[in-house]
Amino acid sequence: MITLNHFLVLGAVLFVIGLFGALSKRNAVAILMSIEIMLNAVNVTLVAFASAILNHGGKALNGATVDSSRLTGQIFAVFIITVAAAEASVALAMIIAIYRRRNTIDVGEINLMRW
Amino acid sequence: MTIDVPAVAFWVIAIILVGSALAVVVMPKIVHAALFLVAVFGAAAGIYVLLNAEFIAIVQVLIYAGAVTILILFAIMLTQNSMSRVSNPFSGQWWLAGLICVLLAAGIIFAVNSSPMAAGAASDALPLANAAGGTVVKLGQLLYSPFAYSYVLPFEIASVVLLVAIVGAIMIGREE
Amino acid sequence: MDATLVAIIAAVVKSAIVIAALLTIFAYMTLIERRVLARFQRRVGPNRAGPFGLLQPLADGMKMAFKEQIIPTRARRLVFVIAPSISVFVALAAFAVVPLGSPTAWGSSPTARAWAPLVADVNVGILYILALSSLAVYGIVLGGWSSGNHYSLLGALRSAAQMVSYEVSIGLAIAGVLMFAGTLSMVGIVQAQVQQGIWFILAQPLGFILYFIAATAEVNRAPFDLPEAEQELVAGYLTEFSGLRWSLYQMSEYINMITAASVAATLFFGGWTLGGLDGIPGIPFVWYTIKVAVVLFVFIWMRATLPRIRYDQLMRLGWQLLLPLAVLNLVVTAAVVAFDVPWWISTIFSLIVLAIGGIVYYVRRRRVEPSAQPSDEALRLALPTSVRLVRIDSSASAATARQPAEVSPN
Repeated sequence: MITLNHFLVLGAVLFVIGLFGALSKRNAVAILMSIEIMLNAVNVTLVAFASAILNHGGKALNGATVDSSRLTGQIFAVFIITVAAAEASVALAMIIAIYRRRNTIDVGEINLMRW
Repeated sequence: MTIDVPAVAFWVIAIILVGSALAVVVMPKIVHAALFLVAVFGAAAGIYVLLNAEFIAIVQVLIYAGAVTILILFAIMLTQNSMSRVSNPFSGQWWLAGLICVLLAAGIIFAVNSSPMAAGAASDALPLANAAGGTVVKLGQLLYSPFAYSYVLPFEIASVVLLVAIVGAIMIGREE
Repeated sequence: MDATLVAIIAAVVKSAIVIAALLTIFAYMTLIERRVLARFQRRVGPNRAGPFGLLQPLADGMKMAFKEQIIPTRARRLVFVIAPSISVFVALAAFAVVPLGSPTAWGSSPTARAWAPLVADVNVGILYILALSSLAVYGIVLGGWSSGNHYSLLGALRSAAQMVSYEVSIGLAIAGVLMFAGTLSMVGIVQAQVQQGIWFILAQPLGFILYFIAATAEVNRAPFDLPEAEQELVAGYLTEFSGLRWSLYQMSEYINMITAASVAATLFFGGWTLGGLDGIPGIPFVWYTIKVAVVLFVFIWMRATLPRIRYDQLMRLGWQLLLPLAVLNLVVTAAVVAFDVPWWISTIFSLIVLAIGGIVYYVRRRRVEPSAQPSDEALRLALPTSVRLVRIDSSASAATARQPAEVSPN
């Protein structure tokens, strides 16, 4: 039997893996990829909540009786995907611009503003 | 004895998902990491199908796997200057990051398993991969319906965000 | 027997049938294409192996199987080996939601529906096809990148940009049909056409033309076959592939073409239906096959007729012509559907747009004609010295310079 908790734990594990990557990688593209994993973890959690709330309403999934506001979790997932796409395009443009100037995308070496 | 097909599917997909997410983080070559990222997105789409969110699943594949990862591959191919053996190195503080992450994971999982809301919802099984009907129509009405309660305005704002992102990406990425 | 078990067995059997059928059709599509192209060029085409050359695909297959499969030294081995399979897998998987007949052809009980003539009736069917065709670019990008060869990488990057650009146009071009149908399911779209008594090409001629052009670019067919432009990129991403791996790429290209034709037949030509005759067993499949075959023939026809366009022209066509027209079509269709006016309003709009397009094209063509001969300056700019065979002497008069008088030694 798979319950909501399974999905929440799965989301948590994914989120933490993404966080670990974002904190510990040196390649800027790898950090971006880790952030995408974190966003996916959040999406898994949101969609699982939407499904659980639908189920909790005690109504059938197929009928029109389901209150449509119960799908809010899925709506949030759509928005997160939208924003993630925008974020990825801007971030990659920045990475390429940085590479053009400094010939590296190692975040340890992009330290001009550090001191 | 009956096999609970959705449950088996959940475990298989979850293992693939976590395994390939780990692979994205630890792979020494950045291109291989990007390929495992595709696996992460695909497996996440599988999770959404199990949760009766087929529209989210398709959009996930279409946007994440079809567009975002392609962009990432472009960036990788454009920024590889040397054929170094390790293109995806760890920083010196990876142990600290690991410690923080383990603590955070423990905290979240503890909260999930002991908060009152979780205890209530944990008792009933989710109807995984319910063939009875999709949620696409509901989702569409919730997003666009001009009459009922809907998310039309946030949706329009999201499109403005996308427009700004396109303009910004072009401005940043343009060669002077 | 358990209904779930029946469904699983049915899905496996149907998938096996579809895969076998697609591979066979691929083999014979190559033969048909070569024969038809030969006719266009007043040749005969391959006719030696078997009657009418029917055994030619078999011979080709044998040849491919026994060829050496070279892996270049600089190739990234693992990715190089996997990439062609990704292409084929994605192409085959995309076909799963194409309906070849009514889902209730053998009755409407769950067991009968499990054996319906389509692998899966997904309620987001058309989006599923779009999603998988957006994955098709991986096979090409990874193949080109892993070859460790600049021509391959260039071809791969070109193709990635091309496919990502034209996906947008495809999505917007078919959105009009989806509005008329009110569903994303492939079966539902066909049923909506039966219900409304029209084929959607009647209401959406502009949408169909936009879809057809964008789909041709999406499956990398001529005149949009830039990724493998032989004359400029050797063979693009295919350069380093040989033997069975090469034929896997060919296979995926043809299967993608068949899927694109099936989507056109389903969305715009009523799928398996034609005038109420589809109650007779077997007839729906025949209709479907005829419709797909006609679309496939047009693909071949275009390849025989049109020259390959330049890369900047390709991008301009996609972003500056197809995309705005698709948006325009979308807006007008939305108005037609929302205000519940008859469907032929959108037809009239489409025809007006197409007529304007035709007039603009004709006028511009006529205006360009007097100076169609490129000037010397243009020739000099267009061709680098290493490529130019004719030495252009600017001091000589234009008439003599245009004659291929001298061929430079280098």
